[in-house]
Amino acid sequence: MAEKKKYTIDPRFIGSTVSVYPSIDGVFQNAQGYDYVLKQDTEEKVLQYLVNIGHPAVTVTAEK
Amino acid sequence: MAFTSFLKTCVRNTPGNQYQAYLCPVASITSITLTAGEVSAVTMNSTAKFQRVQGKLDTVQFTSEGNAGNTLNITHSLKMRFDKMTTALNKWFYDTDGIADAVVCGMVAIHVDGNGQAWISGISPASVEGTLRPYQSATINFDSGAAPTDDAAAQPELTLTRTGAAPAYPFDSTILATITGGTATFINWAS
Repeated sequence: MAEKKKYTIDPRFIGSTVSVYPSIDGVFQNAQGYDYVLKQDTEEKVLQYLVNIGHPAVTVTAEK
Repeated sequence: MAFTSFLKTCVRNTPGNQYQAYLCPVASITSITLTAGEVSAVTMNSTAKFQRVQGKLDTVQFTSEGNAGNTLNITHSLKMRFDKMTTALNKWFYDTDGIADAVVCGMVAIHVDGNGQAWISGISPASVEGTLRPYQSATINFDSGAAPTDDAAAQPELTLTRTGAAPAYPFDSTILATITGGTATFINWAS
């Protein structure tokens, strides 16, 4: 069974607007960014993306 | 949001900027985060970082001209002079991956003002400008002067300009401390 992930958002970032600019090897994948307002119920794929780019607001741990 | 009051505080103001600014290609940035109007996080692509640029003391000048009517447009200019033209500076301006190449896709700048506040310009939330509007124009001027007495001559001058709808954004106190303290992880402090 796949491990469930638990995402924790640093409380000081709740309500912050995170603007992300997806790029690969320094080349943008879009002409514009995307804005996300961080909430406790921010969807998992956004949180995982923030983890992937090393955003300090989100940490992930594996739940057993 | 309702229109609010603005009340003054009586504090000293120091014009000018620190002689060190920070630049990077816009595509090096993967995200910026605004918390209550201040930048609270910056993440970078892979190993990319802002690069330090040291100009001549009291020559770094940031200007912002905002025009609001039916539309809002804001033109930013970041100008700095350098002590003298050198091989390294010449390459930094014109070689591959130099300023002339980097402005093609656009650059983002950080400057620290005379009051010790750091600001980022050339990038914004998508909802503000709709598309990326980094610094995409660079003017590189040089005048050798004619005689050793031409004290202000022979100092190369770089001016970056952009026009968009976003202001420069201040960093929050946590990140500001890392910028002025030389530990911000998104800046190359090694060279």
